[in-house]
Amino acid sequence: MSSPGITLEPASLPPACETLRTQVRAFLSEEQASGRFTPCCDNWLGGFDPGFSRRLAARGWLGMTLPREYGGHGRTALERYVVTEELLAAGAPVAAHWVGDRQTGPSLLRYGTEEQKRFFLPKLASGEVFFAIGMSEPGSGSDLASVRTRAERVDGGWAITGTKLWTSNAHRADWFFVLCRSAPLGEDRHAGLSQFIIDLKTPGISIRPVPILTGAHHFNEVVMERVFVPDARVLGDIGHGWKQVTSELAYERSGPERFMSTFPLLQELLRVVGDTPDERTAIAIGEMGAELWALRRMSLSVAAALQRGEAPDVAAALVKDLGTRFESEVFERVRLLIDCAPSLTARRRIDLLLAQAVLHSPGFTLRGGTNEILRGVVARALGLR
Amino acid sequence: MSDDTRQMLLDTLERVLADHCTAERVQAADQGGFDAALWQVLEELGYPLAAVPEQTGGIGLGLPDLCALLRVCGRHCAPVPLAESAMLAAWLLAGAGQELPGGMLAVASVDPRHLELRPQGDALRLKGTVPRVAAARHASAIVLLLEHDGACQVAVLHPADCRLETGDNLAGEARDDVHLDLTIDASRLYAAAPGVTLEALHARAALLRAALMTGALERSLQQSLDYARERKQFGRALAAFQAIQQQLAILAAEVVAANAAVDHAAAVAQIGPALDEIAVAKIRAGKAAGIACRIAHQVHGAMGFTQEYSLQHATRRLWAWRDENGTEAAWALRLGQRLAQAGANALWPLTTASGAVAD
Repeated sequence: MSSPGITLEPASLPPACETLRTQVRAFLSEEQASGRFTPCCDNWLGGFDPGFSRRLAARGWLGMTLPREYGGHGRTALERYVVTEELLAAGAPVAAHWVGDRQTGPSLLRYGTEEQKRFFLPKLASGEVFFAIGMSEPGSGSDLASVRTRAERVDGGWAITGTKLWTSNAHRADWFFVLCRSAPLGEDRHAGLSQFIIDLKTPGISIRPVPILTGAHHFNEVVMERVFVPDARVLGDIGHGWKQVTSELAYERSGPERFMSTFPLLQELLRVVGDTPDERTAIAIGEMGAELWALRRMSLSVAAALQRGEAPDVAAALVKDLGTRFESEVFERVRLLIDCAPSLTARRRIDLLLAQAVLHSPGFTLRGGTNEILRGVVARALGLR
Repeated sequence: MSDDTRQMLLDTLERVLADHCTAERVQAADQGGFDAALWQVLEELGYPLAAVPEQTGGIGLGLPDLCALLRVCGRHCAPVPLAESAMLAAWLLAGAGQELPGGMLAVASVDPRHLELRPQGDALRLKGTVPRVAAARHASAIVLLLEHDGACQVAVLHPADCRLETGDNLAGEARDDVHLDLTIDASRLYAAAPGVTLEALHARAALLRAALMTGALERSLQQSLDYARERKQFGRALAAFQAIQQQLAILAAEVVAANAAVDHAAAVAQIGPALDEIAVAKIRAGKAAGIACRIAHQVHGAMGFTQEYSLQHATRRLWAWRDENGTEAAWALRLGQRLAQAGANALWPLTTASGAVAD
C-alpha cells in the first residue's frame, strides 16, 4: 500500500529568504511607526493604498518573479512568498497590487504577446497601474464556464458586451482582464472562451459599487456595452480562455492570503490576554498556533512546487479549503475567549478586528472557488469523480 | 546513508508488513497481544537496530527516516511495538553506551508523581509505578529512563523483577502498569546520552506516535476510498454522491495536514530542539484522527462498525494513539503558554523561525 490521496513534498526556504524577510520587516515597522498604515483583518481585499504599493515597488517587492527585461526582479517564487506572508502578517494595505502581482503578472508572462509584456509588466512592477479581474457574472459564480459576456468580432478587434460582478476594486484599477464567450456555446462548454485586456477608461463601461457587509466599497458590478478591444489586447489565443484562466488557479489559490486573513486578530488576542493566560485560553492559543504552523508548511510546499514549475492545483485547492476554514475558526474562538463587543466603530482594537473578521468572513470560503468546489477538485484527484 | 539504502529499508518493510499484517493476524494480536513471528522477521532484517548509531552496529537512522518507517507500520496497523522497542528503548540504551539485550524491549520513564526514587548507599531505591508501558508483558527487558540528582540515567529492568498489571488501550494494544519495588546498584545506572531528558524522551515518543498516526490516517483514507468506489446504493457507487465526495476530500485534507506537521517536526528535530514543532505535530495528528475516524466510519456505514471488517484496526489505533504521549490539549497548553509568554509581537517571528536557516 503506497500513500493514498494527495502528497505534498516538504519544503523549506533557502537561507537568502531570511535576509529578505529582515528587510521587509524593517520596512513594515517603519511604515507602521510613522502611522502610514494600521493593521486590519483581510486587508488584501480592503486595504487599497496605491502609495503603499508604490513604496513596495520602489524596494523591488512588486513583480518580483518577473524577468528583469520586463521590469521585474528575477526572484524566486519562494522569495515572493516571504514578502507576501510578511505583508499579510502585518495586516498591510496591499489590495491595490494584490491581484495583478499574484496572477495577472504570471498570466501575461505566460500568454501575453511580446508587446503586451513590454507594455504592462514594467508598469505592474513599478505600481504604476493596477489590475482588476472579471470572471464572475450575475448568472455565473462557481460555474465559470457559463459566462455570458460575449465578444463579437469587429473591424480591428472585438466588441465586448455583458456584466461582470464581484469585481474587486474595478473602480480604482486601470486595466480589466475579462473572460468572455467569443464563440457560441457548443457541446464542449469549455471551448469558445477568450480573455481580453480592457482599458477601464474605454467608453461603454459603467461601474456600480456593490458594498459588502461592512458597508465598504470593494466589489463592483461592471457593465460593458459594446466596449471596443483592439486585437493587440487579446490575451493569449482566441478560444483558449478556459485553459488560460484555469492555469492561473494554482497562483490564485495557493498563497498565504488563504489562511492569514485573520492573523492580525490572533495576534491581538495575545496582546489582550497577556503573558499568563488561563488554561482554557492557553490551550486555544496553542491549537490555533498549531493550525497556523501546519498550514504554513503546506502553503510553502505548494509555493515550492510552483517554483519547480509544477501545476499544484489540487494541493492548492486542498490547502485553501483548510486555510479558509481556519480564518473563520480564529474569530469564532477569539470571541469566546474574551469579553467582546465587536463593532466597526469600536475604540478597542480587538473589537474592531473582530468586527472586520466576522463581517468579511463569508467571503473567506467563497472567493477564488468555494470550498465545495475545491473539495470537488480534490475528490476528482482522488478518483471519486 | 544513501538514498538507495533508505528506499530499500522502506520498500522491504512495506513488503514484509503487507505479507504479515493480514486482517486475521492483526486481529489475533488484539487484547494485549503481540505478533512474535512478525517481530522475529523484523529482527532478522535488522529493523530493531534502526535508531542505533552505525558506530555501535546499528543502522543509524535519523528522525525523518524513522518517521517514514513508522508511517508504513501505521498504514499496516502492524501489531509490533517497533517505535517503542527500536526507536525509544534501544535508542536510549545505545545512547548510554550499553549493549542491547536480545528481543523486544519496552520503554518506561519515571514520573516522580507515580514513582519515588531514594538513594540507598551506592544504590537507588525505586518504589512506585510506571503506568501503561507498551507491550511490557512481552518484552525481554524494560529500559527505564530516570532523573536523579539532576542527571538522567538509564537502567535495564527484567520483567521478573517487576510486578506487571496488564491492561490495554482502545486498540487492544498491551499497555501494562509496571510496579517497581526494587533497588538498582549504581554500577547498573548508565548516564543517558547528552540532551536526553525526561522531557526530550516524552517529545520524541510523541513525534513517533504522531508518525504512526499518519500511517493509520492514510490507511483510513485508502479503505474509505476503496469502499466508496465498490459499495453501491440507489444504483450508484457511493463515490458518485457529492455528499460522500465532500467528506472524503475533507478526510484527504486532514491526512495531508498531519503529514505536513509530522514531516516538519521530524526535519527540525533532526537538527536541534523541536518541542514546538512536535507539539504542532501531535496536535495536528490528533485533530486529524478524530475527523478521519468520524468520516471513515460514516462512509463505511454499519459495515465498518463490526469487528469483522478491518477498518477498525486503523480507527481504533487512531482513537488510542491520539490520547497517548500527550493529547492535543496537553500539547496545546504547552505551546499556547509558550506563545503567550513570548508575546503578541513574537508570534509571527516564532512562526517563521521554525525550521528556518539563516543566511
